[in-house]
Amino acid sequence: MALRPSKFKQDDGLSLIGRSVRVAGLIQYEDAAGQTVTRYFVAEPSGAPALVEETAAGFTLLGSFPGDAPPSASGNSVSVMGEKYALKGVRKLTLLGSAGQIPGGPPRSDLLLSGEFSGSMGAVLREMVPGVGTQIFYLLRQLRADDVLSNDEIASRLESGRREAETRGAAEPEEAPVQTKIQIAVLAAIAVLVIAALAYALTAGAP
Amino acid sequence: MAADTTTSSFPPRRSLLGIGGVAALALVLALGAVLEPIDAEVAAEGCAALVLLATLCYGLLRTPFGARLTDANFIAAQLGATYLVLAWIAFRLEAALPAVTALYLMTMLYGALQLDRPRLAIVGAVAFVAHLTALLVLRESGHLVNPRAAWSQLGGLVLAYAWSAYAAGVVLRLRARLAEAQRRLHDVGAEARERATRDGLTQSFNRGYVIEALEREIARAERIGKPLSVARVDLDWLGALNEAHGHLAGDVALRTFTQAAAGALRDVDVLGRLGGKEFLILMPDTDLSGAVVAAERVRGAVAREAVPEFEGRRNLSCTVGVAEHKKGENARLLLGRAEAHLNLGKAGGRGRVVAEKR
Repeated sequence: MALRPSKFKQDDGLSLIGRSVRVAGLIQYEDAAGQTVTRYFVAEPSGAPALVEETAAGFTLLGSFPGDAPPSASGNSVSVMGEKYALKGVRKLTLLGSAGQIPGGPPRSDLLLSGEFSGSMGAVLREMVPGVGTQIFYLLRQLRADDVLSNDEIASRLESGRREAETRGAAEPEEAPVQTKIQIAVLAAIAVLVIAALAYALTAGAP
Repeated sequence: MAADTTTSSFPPRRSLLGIGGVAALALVLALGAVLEPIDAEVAAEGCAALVLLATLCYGLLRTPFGARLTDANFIAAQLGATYLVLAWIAFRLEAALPAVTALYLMTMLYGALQLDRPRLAIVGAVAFVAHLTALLVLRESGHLVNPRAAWSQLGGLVLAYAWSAYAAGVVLRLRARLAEAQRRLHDVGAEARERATRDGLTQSFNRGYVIEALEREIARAERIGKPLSVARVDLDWLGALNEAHGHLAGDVALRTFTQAAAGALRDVDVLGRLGGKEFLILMPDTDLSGAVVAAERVRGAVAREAVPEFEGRRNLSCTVGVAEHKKGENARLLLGRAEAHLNLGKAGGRGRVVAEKR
């Protein structure tokens, strides 16, 4: 199935919470309501890669947990170091397609069950592929609109900032012109006077 | 120290102009003697006086005494003495007044460019009084052959002195402006360098610098086989603080956090802001257990800092994820592991240090 339009495409540059990253790969799902869910794997030359999810509600950063100490799930709750998270909702995501580099390789199934758990410390996502025993946990962090900006949006902001600065600069009065011309004229007049006086003084000594 | 510097730069820089000036004056006197406008005896006396003057100045310049003075090169004193010699020559040889006038002009220009206004005024006054005295004595003794020429030469010299002082003032102002422009350029350069490596709000290192430092430290750890640990730190509840008290309170919290964290670290550790409320600490030559101790120290120092009360909280809090570099591991993987432990700490209640299991 072909990928649906999303805000970013593979290899697009973007700003994620102030840092410049590139879309290394993306994977797209459709939820039960027919809404598109796009996940971007973003990378930068240095620094840890990140997973960002785009839905109709906005962007969310999906933070991973250590492989050797994952949260524990029990029924409708998840526990992280004793902190409890209760099930808030489940999404049944159907794979639409993928592009670029996907960590862990291409999806092994067309179906993904994604359960969101919320607690006093935020929200945790628990995902599993039906028929496969493994489950993956993510720490969710809702991003603000200006946390994820495309290069065009950044350029537009820079341009508006430049125009604003220009307008401010034009409004400021220019510095008073230096009175160099008057100074030069005075200096030249005195020089002529002095040279004449010196010439007279030197020739006056002649018998 | 200053005396050492002046002694080490001696003699070429400090005495070249003085020696050159004396030599030029002596040459003019010698030429005057050869071409006859100046009496040979007077020229010899003048040369002897100039040599005496130069020797005296040389001796003073050799001592560190001058280094303590604002006019360390005795320029005003040298010029004053030179004018006295010239007045004496004028007195001894009234017929050679035009030649003396040329000598005055030579020294005048040099003095105007080297001296500040008060010294220039004093030296000018000395020259005027000395020359005037010579002319008055000549007149009183009836030896002033051409009074009209002598007085007009004195007037011309006064005018020339005033003009050269004014012209030199313009040059000195331009020089001062140039020095100011250079100083500002230097400041702008320093600020640009600072901005390139520092975070504007917290004054900790910025993301670019700290990531570059991490790559450098990884290469060093690989080369010398010493441990390297990193800690990813997240300032807790900053969003809630911003909402309760505004972004200025959040900015104060970030600055307070940075100061507290930096104070709890060693000089060799590097603290940098990755962005938003996330920070990275590099701990060279530190294994995981040492890094956990340091991270706890940071967490404790931060937790002692008060903030305006919000949601029942009165102190800052931070969560720390710690990881030790593994052989062959690059910066991305190391940061990823530290971030995973940070996420674990955040989801597990915040205000804690979480490290990988050994």
